[in-house]
Amino acid sequence: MQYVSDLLPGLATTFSLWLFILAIGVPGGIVFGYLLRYGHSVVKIFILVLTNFGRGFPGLAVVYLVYTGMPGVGILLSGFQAVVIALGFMTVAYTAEIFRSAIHKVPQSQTEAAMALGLSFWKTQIKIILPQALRSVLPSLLAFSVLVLQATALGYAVGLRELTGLSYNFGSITFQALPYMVAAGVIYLAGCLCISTFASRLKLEYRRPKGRSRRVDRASASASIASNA
Amino acid sequence: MIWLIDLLRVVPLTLMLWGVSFVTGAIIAVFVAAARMSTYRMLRVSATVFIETLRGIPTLVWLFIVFFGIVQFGFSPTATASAIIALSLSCSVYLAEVYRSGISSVDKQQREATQALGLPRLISMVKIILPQARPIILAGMGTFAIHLLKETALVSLLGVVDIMNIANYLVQQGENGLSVFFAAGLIYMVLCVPIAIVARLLGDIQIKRGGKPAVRNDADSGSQILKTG
Repeated sequence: MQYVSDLLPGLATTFSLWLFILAIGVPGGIVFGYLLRYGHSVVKIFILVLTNFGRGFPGLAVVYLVYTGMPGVGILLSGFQAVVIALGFMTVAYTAEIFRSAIHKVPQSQTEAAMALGLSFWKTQIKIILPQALRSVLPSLLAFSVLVLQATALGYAVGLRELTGLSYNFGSITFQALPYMVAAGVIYLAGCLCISTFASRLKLEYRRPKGRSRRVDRASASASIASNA
Repeated sequence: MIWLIDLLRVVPLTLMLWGVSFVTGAIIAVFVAAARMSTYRMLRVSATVFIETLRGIPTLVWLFIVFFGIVQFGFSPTATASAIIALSLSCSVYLAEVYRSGISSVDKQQREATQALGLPRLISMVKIILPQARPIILAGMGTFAIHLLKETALVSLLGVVDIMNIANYLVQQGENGLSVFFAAGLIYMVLCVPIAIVARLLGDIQIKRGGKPAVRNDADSGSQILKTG
């Protein structure tokens, strides 16, 4: 228990990392999703290339790339900023496709009805399409935010004193590396369980209860698609 | 660009880590999935706890826990050995969930029919259920194989001399961080391509044999959503 309380300052850093990353990543994902749906084809290709890099690179490579690469072009970043930018970029890359398909899935008739009422494009999107898209995407977004929480552990690589970095530090000072690491793992686990419990509650509220599939992972998603087909 | 050769020289090690962890994980996953779907409550609960725990802890923290944990028991593992153990275990829980969601995607009536025919459970699983679940399982395995390859980048933080470790060393020697880490990330991306192709080919074989056209991978599932939606 003492180990857990020692690590609480690290939890604060981890949590603020998580918030900053999501604050950059989710709006960015919406913008990219819109550009993928409605943008000019040159813009689309550019964004596709960018998001494929964001999804194809290991997280660690992106973090190092931002942390050690940016000073080379004259931008000096702290470890915290580097992790937020790197993981924020990856969140944008991963969520852009989620948002694109969510926007696409809102029936075309909704747009046509709005047009018939004389609403402008932006008003249609903000008042009609986006709320529906966000609602449908919320469970998978929450599931993704669990992955973001786990990815903040990469802060250790650039010397950040978040949960992992701090427990490694304490571990090497006190020679009790294992208890501190396990304590860090327990804290991450508690955080992830909180988010995924919240997500499954939300899912039950929004959709018909579906018994077995507790999380929106790819496997079960593809299973449900297959059963639809 | 002479450093590129240094990076490429350790590609086999990364592939070895990936291959060994994936195969070991896939084998352990069979037992985990069997326990998860067992009729014995104790087995089912303990498998669920095991799966949720490993999924809730970041891979980096899990790597450290396994490394320090083995040291605690009086062994002195090499970083590579403990990395393989940690990655295999974390691989096994994800693949167990892939197996499970594939098997539970098969219609319940199929299993009931085999029971009515008096087939033993093992034969009904191997002859009836698994062939139908195979496309979904293979799709999930392919996705996870790519994920695991990117995950192996983390072992550099444990001291294994893999691509990221060499890249880090090169940058400390004064190479340009932007280009070195970009090249390292590109190597991972290129390594993912054959995996994606193999996963897709395996899915295609299944279709030709007359299995039901299930979802093969993300791109296809996207087009399938368009068709059904």
